Amino acid sequence: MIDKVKKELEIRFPLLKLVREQHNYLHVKVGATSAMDAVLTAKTSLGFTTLQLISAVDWMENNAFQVTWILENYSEQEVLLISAYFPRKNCVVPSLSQIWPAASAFEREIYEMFGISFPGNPREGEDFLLEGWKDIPPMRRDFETEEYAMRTFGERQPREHIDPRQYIGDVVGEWNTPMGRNREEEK
Amino acid sequence: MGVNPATDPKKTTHLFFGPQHPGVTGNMSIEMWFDGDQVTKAITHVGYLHRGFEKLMEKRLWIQNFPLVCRICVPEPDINEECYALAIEELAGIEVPERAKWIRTLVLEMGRLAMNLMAFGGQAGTVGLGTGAMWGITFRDFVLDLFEELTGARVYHIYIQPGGVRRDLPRGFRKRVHLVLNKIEKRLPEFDRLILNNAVFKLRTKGIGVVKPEWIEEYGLVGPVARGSGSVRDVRKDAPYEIYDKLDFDVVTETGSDIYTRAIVRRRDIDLSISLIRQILGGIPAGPVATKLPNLTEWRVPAGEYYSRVESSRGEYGYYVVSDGSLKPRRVHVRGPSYVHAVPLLERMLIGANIADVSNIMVSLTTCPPEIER
Repeated sequence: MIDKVKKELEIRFPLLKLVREQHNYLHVKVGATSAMDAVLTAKTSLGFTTLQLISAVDWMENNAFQVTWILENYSEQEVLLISAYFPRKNCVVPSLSQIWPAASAFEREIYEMFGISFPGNPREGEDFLLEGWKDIPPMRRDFETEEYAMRTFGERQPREHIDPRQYIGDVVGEWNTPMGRNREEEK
Repeated sequence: MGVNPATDPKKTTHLFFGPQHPGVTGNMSIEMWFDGDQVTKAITHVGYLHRGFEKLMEKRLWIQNFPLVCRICVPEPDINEECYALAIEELAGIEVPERAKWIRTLVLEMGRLAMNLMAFGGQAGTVGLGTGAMWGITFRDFVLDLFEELTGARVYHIYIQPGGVRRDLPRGFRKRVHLVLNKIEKRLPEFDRLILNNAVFKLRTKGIGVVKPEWIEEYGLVGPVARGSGSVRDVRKDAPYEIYDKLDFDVVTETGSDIYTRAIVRRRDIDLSISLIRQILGGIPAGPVATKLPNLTEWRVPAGEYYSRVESSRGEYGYYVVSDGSLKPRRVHVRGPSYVHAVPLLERMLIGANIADVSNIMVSLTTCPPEIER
């Protein structure tokens, strides 16, 4: 059955690239301009009525964000992944929140984590996972976690270590085992 | 001209529910607006335990992420290891020995049983039936004892690895699993009498927290939440992984759509898990339990992308793993069932609910906040 889906998509999107094809699993890459068309075609005419996930990958060296929509066809038990590359600077991707209510949460997260904007999402920009975040979006590859931690929290002070022998010696005087004390008394 | 009290901001109460509240599942909170007793608007707030799992995974070697992924869902950690291992095996082309597949399925079912016992008892706890909650925890603990014997840890097992499992079954383990199953099964009728036949439990759960069947596709609902509303979705049946295609079982489904029905689905899932564990114990073949892996400190998983999915006790669980052929993952995206259940669905479901039913509805979705804020 997934063959049929593949053929249908290949006819409509001639520039489509096949990433992985397995039993009931298909992953394709399309151009940025036809990404929305492909997702909506899959929903309306191929039976992929459920959106499982929207994910983003930062390909910083290629100056692109890869956005992937993972769709599922309940009746045929098929999974379809549609990926597209978008330019990294001022990245804008159309929103699906009017079609799938669940998309709103996924898009809000990607906006926070990657800075990819989804115009049309009514709740975009609302604080979700990172309340009061001021820095660049943290899931981008150019976000340096270590540098951020040093800048924000400073260098961690080494833990103060107390040698128990030294400590007890300071508090109760000479370190004496009970046995040692007894011997001194005997003398 | 009077003002409509339902829309008048002066007449609504604004309340924060959680994160420090016994009725909340995990570290999340709901901001709600009430008109009298009824919720008019709800917003889920998460981020109280954001530990940046996904970012951290990009900085570690492939194998180093196993102790990390299990922490994404505390009560049922094995599904994370399984999902991540499945994705790596698919990308690297690793074959799993037959015996390891059976043992993995055993571990997954034991985890599901433990989680369902806790969730079923926990549902009773929210209506004041503390005994049910305690029994659930107690019987989960017997399963945790088995995990301790098998893996060395009670909660975070870190047992599943690419190409198999970490160690073989201890001697006499099957017999002890049977003993625990018998012990749990003997007490289950009492569980039913205590919880499902209880008049208060019925009053507080029947007809409340209804998940409409059309929401299943709209929101992408999975697990007992979807199966309580007539869906027959179960990855174990739909896209069998490990040895689920060799086991004989039917997907549990009910049509009541309310909290009571979801409790029944969980109760029947307990029966199903017990039956599956017995089937697995009777069929584990002999052989090795792991494939030899390359040098793990220099292991470069071939470039590629894969979305692996398994069925957790709360529904479909997915890992979207991207490799660029380097020592570390390029991206790992965890798709837990709580994501849609606790954020878009809960915000939608709570509208019109009574203030006393909020925690009841929330617990019936069995949300696990770390799945939202990985």
